[in-house]
Amino acid sequence: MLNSIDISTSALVAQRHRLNTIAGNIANANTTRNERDEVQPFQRRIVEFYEDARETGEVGFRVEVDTTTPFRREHDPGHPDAGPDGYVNYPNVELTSEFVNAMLATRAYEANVSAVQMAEEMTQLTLQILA
Amino acid sequence: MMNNLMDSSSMGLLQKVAAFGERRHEVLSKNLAHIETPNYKTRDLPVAEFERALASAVRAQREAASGSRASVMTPTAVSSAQGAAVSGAVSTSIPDLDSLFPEQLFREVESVPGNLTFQDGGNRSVEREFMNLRKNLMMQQFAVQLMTSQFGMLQAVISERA
Repeated sequence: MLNSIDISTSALVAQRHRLNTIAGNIANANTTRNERDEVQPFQRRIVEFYEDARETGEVGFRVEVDTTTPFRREHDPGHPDAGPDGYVNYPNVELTSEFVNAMLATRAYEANVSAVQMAEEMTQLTLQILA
Repeated sequence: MMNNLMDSSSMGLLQKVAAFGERRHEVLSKNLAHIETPNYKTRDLPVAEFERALASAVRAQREAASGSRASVMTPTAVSSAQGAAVSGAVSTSIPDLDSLFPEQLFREVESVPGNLTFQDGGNRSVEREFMNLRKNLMMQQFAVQLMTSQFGMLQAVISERA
C-alpha cells in the first residue's frame, strides 16, 4: 500500500517540477541575454518523463533544452541586442503551448492526488478491521 | 479448532480478494502516474484469471465443507477417534489457498488493448484508469467490510453478547 503512495508521490513531484519549468519558460519569454549578460536568447526547457525502474515503476524526469525550435525574430534596429541586420532574436517560447502544458500538468497532478486519497481510504478501512 | 473456524468461513478468500485489490491499486496508480510518459503501456493484474481462481476456490471449499461434515456425522467416529478423524479430514480436504491463488495472479501484465492507441504506442486514458481505480477500491472495501462483520460475529460469540 505504501508502495502505491510512493509511486503517486513520484508523479506529483514530476508534475510539480514540470509546472515550475513552464513558469520559468513563461517568465523568460522575452529574455534576450543569458546569466553572463551575453546576447543569447533564452531557450525553452522541456520536462521529459520516463519510467525509473521496472520493479518500482516510479516516474523519473529530466529537463531538456529545446534547441530545434527557431528563435522568434523581430525587426527592431534600435534594440541594444539587435543583430547587424536589425533583427532581434527572442526566445523560442510560445505562450499558448506553455499554458496548455501548464493545464495538463495541473490536471495530472490532481489525478495523482486522487489516487493517493483512494489509497488512503483503502488503508484506513483495512486498519479498522479489528477496531 | 481455531484453524477450522477460519477455514470453514470465507475469511481466507476475503483476505485474498483484499490483497488482490491492494496490489491492483498499486498497478493502476502506476498507470495514472505515467499518464504522460512516452512509450508507456498501461498495465493491469490478470483480473479474469483471479476471478476464475476465486470461483474454483469457493467451489473447492464448499465441497470440502460438505465432506468434513459428512465424516463428522458418521456413526463410526467415536469420541476418542473423532479428534483424529476430524483433523485428518481437515488436512486432506481443506483446499490450500496458496496453490489456488498462485503468485502470477499478483504479477502485473500489459493490460488488454481496447483503448485509443497514441502515436508512441501508449494507450493512456485518465477516465479508464479512474473507473478501474474506483471499481477496485469498492471491491476491496467490500471484502474488508465483510471481514469486519465476520470478526464482529466471532466477537459476539466469544463474549456471548451481540
